Amino acid sequence: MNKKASKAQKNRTFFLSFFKVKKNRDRLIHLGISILAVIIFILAWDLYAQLQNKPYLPRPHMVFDALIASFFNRDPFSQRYMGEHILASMVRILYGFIIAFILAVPLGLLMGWSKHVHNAGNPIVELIRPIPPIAWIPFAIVFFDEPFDTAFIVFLGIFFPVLINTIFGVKRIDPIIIDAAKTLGVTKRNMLQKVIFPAVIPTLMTGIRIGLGIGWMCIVAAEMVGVTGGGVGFYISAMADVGRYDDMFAGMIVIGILGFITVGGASYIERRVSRWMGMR
Amino acid sequence: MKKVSKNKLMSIIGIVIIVSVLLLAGCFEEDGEKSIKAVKIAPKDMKASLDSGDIAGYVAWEPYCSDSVVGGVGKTLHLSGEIWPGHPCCVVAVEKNFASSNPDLVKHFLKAHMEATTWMVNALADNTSMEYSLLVDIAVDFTARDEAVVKEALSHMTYVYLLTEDFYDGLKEYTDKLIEFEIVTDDKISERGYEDTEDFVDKYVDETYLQDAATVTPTSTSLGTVRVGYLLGDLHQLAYPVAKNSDVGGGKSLFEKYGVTVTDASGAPYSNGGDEMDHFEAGDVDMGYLGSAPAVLKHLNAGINTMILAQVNNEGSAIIVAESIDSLKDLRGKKFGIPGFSTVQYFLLRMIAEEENIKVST
Repeated sequence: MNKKASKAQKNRTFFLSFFKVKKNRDRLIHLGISILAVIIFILAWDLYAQLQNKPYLPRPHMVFDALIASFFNRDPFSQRYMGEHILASMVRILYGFIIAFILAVPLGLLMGWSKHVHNAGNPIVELIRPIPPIAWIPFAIVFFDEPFDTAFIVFLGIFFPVLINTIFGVKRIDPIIIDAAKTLGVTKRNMLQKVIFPAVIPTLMTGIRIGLGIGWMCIVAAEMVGVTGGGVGFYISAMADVGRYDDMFAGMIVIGILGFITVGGASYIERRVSRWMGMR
Repeated sequence: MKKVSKNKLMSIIGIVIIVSVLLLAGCFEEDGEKSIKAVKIAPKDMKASLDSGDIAGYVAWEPYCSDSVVGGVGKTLHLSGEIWPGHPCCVVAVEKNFASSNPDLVKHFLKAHMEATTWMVNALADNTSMEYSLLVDIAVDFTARDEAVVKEALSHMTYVYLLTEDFYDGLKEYTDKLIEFEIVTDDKISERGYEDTEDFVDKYVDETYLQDAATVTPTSTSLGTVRVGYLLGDLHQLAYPVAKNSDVGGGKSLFEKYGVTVTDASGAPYSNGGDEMDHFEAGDVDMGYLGSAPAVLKHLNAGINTMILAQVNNEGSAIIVAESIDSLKDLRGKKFGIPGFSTVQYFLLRMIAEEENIKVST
């Protein structure tokens, strides 16, 4: 019997280590494919830039040089380093995100839970949602002070994806779970806090991920018009203005990297929160 | 000791990062109190921004300066001539390949420009003449501003087509300043094949076309079409609608008189000279009216294949401020509108701020 158990244990360990090795190997393959794709992209860019031979499309090494230089030299317009521009943009994103999160999540929960609130809020939401956030720029400049004018544009970009996904998250909860909770005598407050909110988290995080992506697009557009205090969007716009396209592309790459990190961070938080709340 | 859970630790780290970012951001704001905060605003929106209190002042070309003054929204702090007397402003530029393939067409275009400019100078010399009234009508149509604004703006304008010594000197001074402000590097001068700024100005401004244009005579033969770039409602570039106007030419336009068919380039009118240079590069514009500043900047930094053939005007810009502002120092810590970083207007702001030891930031 002991022998049998020991053999079963051995087999189990073997299978587990086999899958672990396989999992690591798969990860390495995925990483390898991603790196290869980036290398091919850069080579294609370089080739096309050489064929075009125009300053409007600088070669990758020129952009890389401009990128490095931007962290050590102040730009000639705002006298800021790239690090300061990044900070300025991140603060605007942060303000926009915090305000959007504080407003969109409770509103989404209420609109998903109550038909009356949904009927009242839905026409307004659907009326405003299709308006591109950048169309609000002149309004924001006049009605809000720095940094809330640009943060407002970011807020609009993040608010709707978070709201819609929260509503969707509430609506897709299995009614059996709600009924079971009711049968067990769960109070309204606990229902929202302990049943509905945890169930909404995966779709809410999807909304946050999408919203942050849109937020970065919005911040660049907003910073290109009438902004003080620098920002990566400002940097891109000013460099384009004077024809320094290698610097402009460097700014664009910074936005890409920041967006990638932010969205990656949101995915990471999503996994951790889901695990913490027992969803995975 | 109670062990802090990993999740709590992560949350604390997250909050510390967020608070640090917000605090750091606050630190950078302090510097803004000492400097004029330049913000890019389309000239057509400047009056409204000043009126709403969003900006404390702006620098622009006419008629966007007189528009605020006549409308009672702001006052003139400095005319551009007070900052830099006779400074170069708008020019006629051409795409180099177009000029070498169509030299006659270019010369005939310039002849119409010369005649239009001379007609305008004469009209402005006597504001009781029929020509002056016609000029005002054309300007009202071109700028979409009312008569009072246009008349006030015209009183600050100097129209000129000749490439004078002062123009060469001004352009050289401007290019040297661009290098001093690190907007253009020395490398770019040599990269474009010039020895120094003097060599650049000598080669980038080609006066041979203008000299030849002086001998051009009217023709009934159509020499071809020129796609023309120009800026939205820019009173500096009034020579263009004047040369297109059939009343000025006595039944047919000055362009027609010299056998030139003109058409607005794709996307024209443009919001600033930088945009127009991009359209030169895109192959949309053959010849264009634009600021000498963006023409120089984008040629040097981006290698756009253009050259300057004639002047259009000099001076004709101003710093306009809210009633509460009495000096440039009062603008410190306040938002100030500029039409773009490639414009001579931004450069004028930098010049006077430097003189008064005030920093211009964003």
